[in-house]
Amino acid sequence: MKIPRPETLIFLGTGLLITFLVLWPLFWLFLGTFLTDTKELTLKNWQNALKAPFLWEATWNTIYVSVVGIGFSMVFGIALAVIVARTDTPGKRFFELITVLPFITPPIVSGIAWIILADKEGGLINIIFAELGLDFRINILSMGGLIFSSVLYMIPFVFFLTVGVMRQINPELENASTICGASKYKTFLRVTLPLLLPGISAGGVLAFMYSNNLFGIHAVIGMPANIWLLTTAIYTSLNIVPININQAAIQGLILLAMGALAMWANTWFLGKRKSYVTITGKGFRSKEVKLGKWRWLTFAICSLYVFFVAILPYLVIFFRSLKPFAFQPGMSFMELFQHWDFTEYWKIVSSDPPSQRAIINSFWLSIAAAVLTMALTSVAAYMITKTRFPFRKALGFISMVPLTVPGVVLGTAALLAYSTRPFMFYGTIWILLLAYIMKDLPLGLKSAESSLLQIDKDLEDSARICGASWMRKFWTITMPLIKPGMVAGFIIIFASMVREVGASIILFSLGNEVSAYIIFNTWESGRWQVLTSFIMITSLLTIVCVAIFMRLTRSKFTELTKDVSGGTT
Amino acid sequence: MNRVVYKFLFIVVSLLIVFLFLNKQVSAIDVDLDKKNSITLDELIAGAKKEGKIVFYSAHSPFVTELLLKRFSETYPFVKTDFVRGSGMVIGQRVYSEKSRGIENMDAVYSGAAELYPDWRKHGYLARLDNLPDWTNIIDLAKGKDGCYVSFVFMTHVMAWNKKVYKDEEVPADLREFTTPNWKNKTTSGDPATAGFALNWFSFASDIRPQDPRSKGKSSGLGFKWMEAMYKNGHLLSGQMGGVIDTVVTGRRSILIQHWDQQVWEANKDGANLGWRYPIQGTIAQHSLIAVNSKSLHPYTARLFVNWLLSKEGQHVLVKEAGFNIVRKDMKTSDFIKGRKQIQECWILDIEKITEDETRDFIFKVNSAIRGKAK
Amino acid sequence: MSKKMAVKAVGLAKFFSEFAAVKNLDVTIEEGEFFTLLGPSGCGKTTTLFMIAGLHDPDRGEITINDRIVFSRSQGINVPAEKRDIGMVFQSYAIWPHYTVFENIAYPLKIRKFPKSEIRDKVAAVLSLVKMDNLGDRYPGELSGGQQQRVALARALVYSPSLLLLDEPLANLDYKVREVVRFELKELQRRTKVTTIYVTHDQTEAMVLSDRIAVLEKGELAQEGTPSEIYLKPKSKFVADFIGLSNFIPGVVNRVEEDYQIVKMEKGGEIRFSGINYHRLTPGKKVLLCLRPEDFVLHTERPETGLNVWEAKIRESAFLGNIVTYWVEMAGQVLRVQSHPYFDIERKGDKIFLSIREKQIKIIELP
Repeated sequence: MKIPRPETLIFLGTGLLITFLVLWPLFWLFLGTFLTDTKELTLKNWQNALKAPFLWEATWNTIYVSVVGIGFSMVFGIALAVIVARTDTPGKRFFELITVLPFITPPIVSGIAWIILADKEGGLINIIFAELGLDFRINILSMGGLIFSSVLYMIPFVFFLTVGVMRQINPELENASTICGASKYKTFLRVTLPLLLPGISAGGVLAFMYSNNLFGIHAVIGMPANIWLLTTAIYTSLNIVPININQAAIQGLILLAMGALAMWANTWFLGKRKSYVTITGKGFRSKEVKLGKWRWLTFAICSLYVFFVAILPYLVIFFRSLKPFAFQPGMSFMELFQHWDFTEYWKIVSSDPPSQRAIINSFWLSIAAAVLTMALTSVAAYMITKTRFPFRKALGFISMVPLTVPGVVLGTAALLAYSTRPFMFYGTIWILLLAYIMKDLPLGLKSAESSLLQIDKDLEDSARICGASWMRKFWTITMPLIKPGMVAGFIIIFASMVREVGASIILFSLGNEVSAYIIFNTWESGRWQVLTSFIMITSLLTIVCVAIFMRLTRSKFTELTKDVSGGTT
Repeated sequence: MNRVVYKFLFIVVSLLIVFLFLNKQVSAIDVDLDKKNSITLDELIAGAKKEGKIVFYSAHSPFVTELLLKRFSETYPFVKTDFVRGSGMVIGQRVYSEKSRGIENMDAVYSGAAELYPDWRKHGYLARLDNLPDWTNIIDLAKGKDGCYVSFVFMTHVMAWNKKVYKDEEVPADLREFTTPNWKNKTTSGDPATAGFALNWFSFASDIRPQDPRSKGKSSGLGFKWMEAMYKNGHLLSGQMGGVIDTVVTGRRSILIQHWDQQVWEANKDGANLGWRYPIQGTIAQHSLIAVNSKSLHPYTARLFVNWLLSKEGQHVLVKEAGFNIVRKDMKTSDFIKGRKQIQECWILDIEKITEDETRDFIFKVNSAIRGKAK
Repeated sequence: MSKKMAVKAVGLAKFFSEFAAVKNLDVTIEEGEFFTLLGPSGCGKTTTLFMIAGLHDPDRGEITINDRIVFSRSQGINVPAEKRDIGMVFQSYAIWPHYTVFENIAYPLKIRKFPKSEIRDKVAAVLSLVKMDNLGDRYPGELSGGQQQRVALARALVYSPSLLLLDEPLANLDYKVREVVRFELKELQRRTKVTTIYVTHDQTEAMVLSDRIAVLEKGELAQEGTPSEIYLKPKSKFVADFIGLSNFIPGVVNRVEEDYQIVKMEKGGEIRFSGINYHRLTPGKKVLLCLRPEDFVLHTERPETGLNVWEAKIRESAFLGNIVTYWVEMAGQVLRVQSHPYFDIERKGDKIFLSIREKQIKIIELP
């Protein structure tokens, strides 16, 4: 009875590995704020930091951008979710499909597209205004522009989250209200919205953390506009010479604390009303509200949204990639469509080793990270949902911690942690793999958990009765049954890693570049044709990969969208 | 369906193993070329044949980097070239972090941040270059202290304008004219806060930074007051190198106060139609320093490459095909590109004299001035 | 005591946090018998079944299956479920949706490393047994509830286990299907002679299928016996109430004679009965009379016998097809009685007369 069963060892190993992957970097992040360059303890870093007005400015900006951004994105996101989930607007399936596009797009792409469109001096929109003789100009390189780009990126996130929550609400609850005589609007206000409240509030917290992950946008729009946020401050700290890791650690810690505070506030605000929604994994279909003529209005709204969020950026980037210079005075509008120049595409693919390396690295790293993460989290999820293993609740909590860690902070933490013995992975490609896995754990865990919860316990028990050992049961019964959810999780993680910018920028090393770095570097040197060509290539490849994966495993799209928002906490 | 998953996992695992092997570092050849007082070209070639590879850390544009490596490998086909590209700061930082941890991935390095090279020399990161065959053929201004780095080309800064908007005669040669109301909201330059090349020119414009005594060019005479006036006149800071060109070409701001002559040359090659000249205030010549890793894994090939850059053939490529200002004693840039100044006639920053504190202080001052935050 | 003991459970207890699902249970199941654990939800029957299966660990007690101790807390023995060689049919059937019928049934055989040809034969044989021949290639998603249940049964039997456990397998079936399957199940068990433990809350099922029944109440054994014993001689109010319908009349023992006793009903009137099978009662003892509806005979006019006859008034009636149920008021209480469908009286308020036979009265002593 004292010989540990093989599954116990597997559980233990997984638990330890996950704990290490999450806590070791965070520990060093915390410790790093108290260290000098020569690894001695000091309080000077904190003293200097707290005195610097720059830090306060960056913190305030971060809060401002996040809060305002959340406000807008929640209003629009929820409205759109209601339209898609509860009305008979035509084409809503298509809308849902298209809005997955931003999730495979690096946020930096959105920023770049809008710079091409709305830069004060040379943006396409402003040029059109000038042609029309208007004096009005949009300036994307401003606080408003920064928030606008962020919001555009956060709306799909809130959208999917809300749709997911709505689908979990039992329509009988609303029907009961209708039977009692309440009008549709009253029912919505008095029954539906309050039921949505916990989910929405959790979604707001998630959106807050998500907005801190938009390093790409903060850099591309904020930096030229001289608006500094904590994310770009971290980047700068790590890119001046000499490198100031300790300062970056402090900035990172503040960002982390903000996220943690938001989560705690959410729990406190909701109190006992954790969730009104039972996570059965099965969605309810509720009756659609017939809008009559109004549905064409909602259709227009949805189309506009889809156009702005998913189609326009790519259109703009594609066009920009075809010409060395965007627009020259005296050039007619028609000339935009002539003399298309695909040489940059060809150059990237055939003769630019860093770009080729970057694409290959990005893709195989994302795949490897996705596979390893799903493997780890499926075991962890099994431990948490189906066993009485000690500390399993703690493990669940630890696995979700990386949610509060924005990409740049994660990168900083990994930088500190893996530059110390015995784990010297800095400078290699493996540090990226470790960071990616750490970042993916929450996504993977949620996906695995929801898949596992859907399996009837009897299905596993009957395998035991038939004589199956734990390993056999896990392999022949459990895994095949959670396969759809796992595959969906894999695809989501893959897509989210391919577009990861924050941590990649910090942890890459020359010779081990990833796509995010190439994008960032070509942006920094202002080579717009190369930049946009590269973006088109990587985006196309990502879409192709996702399509291949889905086809290979015959995944259903609905599974994907369920996981895409990462679930409510 | 399980079979698909198995196949997949197998591929992933084998890829991981493959990469593990690929990333193993080859041990360095035991040689101490630094001890020799002169090396012949044949020795370099023989050694390079055995090594067969070079890794070049370059902050130059992809066009320049690829061109140089292409021509180099055409001359020496037994060498496989690999490069990594980054901005000057990024390259600089990587050198520090890699060297301090014993990672010897780079063979030769060009970082736009010239002021880093003296520090690297002090840390012992750099190999000797003064024993190379073509070392004696280049002008003294290009040679770094202790022979550890060399400027294989120089970039002088010029002003430029969009010829589709302005005729050449319309553009003044005196930079001070651009503070007048006629030129409000019409000028742009790089951003000294984020762009190294811009910071260099603004060093020249500020009149307060130390000048290399070997250079004969006079100081600009502009100073911070001029910068503040430019700010008030709506001067636009356009960020990075390509971005600046983009600004001028698209006509957003048709007057470019400063940029590398080489970048203007490159842009015109791509059809930008820019006119250029030197302002009456003179100009700065900026280093393009290259150095070799003292513990390079391909010591012969690295030195062969640097030597090639300094050779007649290499310098020819640099001036004719890339538009740089060359540094050989027996070749004149102005023979190839009309209008280019001699390097000695420009103002050059004394990189051995500047310190970290002075740099930081200067950066603060210049950014305040050009952004109108000066008190 | 000549029959061998297949399963013996002694002193079983199981707690879920504060809740005691099973308190102190002793059951013995004989080889080859059909044994049912019967009781309302929450009584601990499923928990007991799971403990015997090895899916739950008892907090106390000992379990022996076929002379092998599979669980003993005191001796530190806990044979895991996968090693107990039991067949089990779950309430949800637990048929794996990603395997065909054949693969489902073959699963335990594969584990036991039977050669392929033998597996094919055994699966075919057991499919025949449950009357599902030629359906081996179907997927569970294509089968009806009844068919899925048969597959579950087939899978449980294919490796000839020494013990078969069934957890309310008929609960999800339609009424008519349930009847058919019930019958087939009993037949199957007779033929295969496999020791079977059955769990249900449906007392009709228990009565039809079982050789013996254990009635559980709140984690403890209320009564154990054959169906007729439990029905005709309930030992507690709970059992009497749970099995069949009962009318309970509280009363006090009035007189005790050699061959008869008289009990005075609380709300008035007397009952006289012959308690040959009952313990000696003493006058003044509080008792509970248990009278099933079918124990009463209904008369339109007062019968001549005189003993144990009362007048009653009809409150409500319901026509059930094979019988008519009446709720009548007698001696101050409402009783439920019934008659054959041709009895004439149906209207509310009508007066009828009730009589019972002495031997049919059951007495439950109150503590």
